[in-house]
Amino acid sequence: MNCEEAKINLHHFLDNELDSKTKKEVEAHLHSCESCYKEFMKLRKFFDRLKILPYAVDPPQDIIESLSKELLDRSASEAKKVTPEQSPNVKIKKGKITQEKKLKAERSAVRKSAVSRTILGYGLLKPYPTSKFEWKEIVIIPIILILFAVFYLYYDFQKYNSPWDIQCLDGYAIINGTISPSGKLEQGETLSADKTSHISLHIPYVGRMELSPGSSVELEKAKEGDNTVKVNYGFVKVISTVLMPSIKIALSSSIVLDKAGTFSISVDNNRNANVTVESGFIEINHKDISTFVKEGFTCSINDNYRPGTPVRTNAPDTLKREIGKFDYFKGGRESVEKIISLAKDSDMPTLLSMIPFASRQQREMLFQAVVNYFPPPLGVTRLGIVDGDKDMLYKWWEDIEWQI
Amino acid sequence: MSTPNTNYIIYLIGLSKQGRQQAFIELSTINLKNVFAVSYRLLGDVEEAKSFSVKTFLRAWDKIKHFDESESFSHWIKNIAIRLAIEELFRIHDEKTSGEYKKKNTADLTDLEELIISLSVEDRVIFVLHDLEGYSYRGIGAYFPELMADEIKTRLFKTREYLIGKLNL
Repeated sequence: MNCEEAKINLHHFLDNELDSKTKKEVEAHLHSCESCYKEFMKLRKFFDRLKILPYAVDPPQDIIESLSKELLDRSASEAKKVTPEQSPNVKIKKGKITQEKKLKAERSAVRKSAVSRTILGYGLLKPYPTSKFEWKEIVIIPIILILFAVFYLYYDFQKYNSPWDIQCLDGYAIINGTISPSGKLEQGETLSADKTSHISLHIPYVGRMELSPGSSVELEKAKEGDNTVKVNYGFVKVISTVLMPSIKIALSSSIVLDKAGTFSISVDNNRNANVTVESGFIEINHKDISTFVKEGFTCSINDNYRPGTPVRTNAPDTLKREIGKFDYFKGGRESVEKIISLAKDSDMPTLLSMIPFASRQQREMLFQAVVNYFPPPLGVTRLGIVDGDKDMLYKWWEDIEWQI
Repeated sequence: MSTPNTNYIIYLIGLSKQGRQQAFIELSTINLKNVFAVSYRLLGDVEEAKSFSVKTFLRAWDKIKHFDESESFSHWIKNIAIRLAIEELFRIHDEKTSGEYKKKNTADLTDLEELIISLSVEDRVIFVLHDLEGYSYRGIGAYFPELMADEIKTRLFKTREYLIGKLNL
């Protein structure tokens, strides 16, 4: 390779565009020729300077500002293209058309409203829903409500179980003052047994009620879960055969709830009653007072008074008299002391039942008397009992009830 | 010479394609130096370079919907700048003689920068595109359909030797 060829190839050599053979020839020539080597070094220095050649000028920042402005102008002109400028006449005309449309819509709404008021009242025209959503609201919701109401009424109607069957064990049944040939008692009717009759009344899904001679009851409500019989007078016995009977016995001022068992109620002409529980237990409600009477206990319920303290059926008369004094004649401390002295372990439910109606001092005495036989269960405290805590009293009552 | 797109650049391109001007302005800011530098090296005038930078970005905004993300955005926008600058150079070149247009509004330049700007339009374009922007001879040939590849090479080599001679290397 001569110097002329080498000089031309130096550019290609530095541009890395030579094949390996020519590259070697150039390299060999550069080793042997000082002049060409000098040329090569000049060219390499030049390339080195190009590599580090900085940008001559920093770009002026207003380029971006100008660009932003241009882009904004373009957006504005495009927006104008979409809504081209209209002449004042066209604007006025368009405004007029808009006004007319609005007016027409308003008039139409008023007319429709007037028509609706007159025609809809006769059921000739149905309301005109303006959207799909309104259709749903107007049609579906009332249908659901109606269906729901129908099902509820049907379900509720199924619960009515009137009439109840009557069985005359002796004599005959008198319904609303006349001898009944049907043997059925409808809701609202009064069933009476004269002095020679003994009647059994079937209570659906509960059991039966037996009316002793000279008794009268009224079927106030014959509905499953809410059966109510009012005892007017006489002696009736309720025998339930299910675990959760739903029968209420209405007295003049109290309600007796059957809590599964057998109990009898006697009501005199002064509407004073006496309840005796043979098995299971009952709850007597008078206003906000609840009294529980267990099997083997009796309880007097005087008209317009709270239920008396339940007392053992076979308790001595002296104890029953003292309890009567405590309940109705303000027996006071003396009476409480006497009751405590007469009470046995099986009378402890009686003492507990006295606590809500006793003074604080008397409660202390009663608490101590019961503790002597039955220590309070977990969660029942002296302070709670003295304060008349209903939950604690019931818990303690339950704890004692199964032990005696 | 092309810079690969970062995730951020791709994100900005996506937004720009949806017509979000702010994203495109951000893209333009990132590429401002490249676009302005190449415009200036080719046009040799600060004000013209400014004006052509804005034109470049506006042209890119018009065409960004067709931009292929697999391509380098910096390379793509620089090509737009080069094309616009060369079109302008050739338009002026046709109207005036090359000598009249030199040194109109130059910044404080290094000797080499000044020498580059003082080159004739064709020599400058060939030199800037090949030695500074890394274009191939074929790529340069697209702007000079009347020149053969060897002619382009010869002009480039002569320009190099001229500059080396002026720089006293």
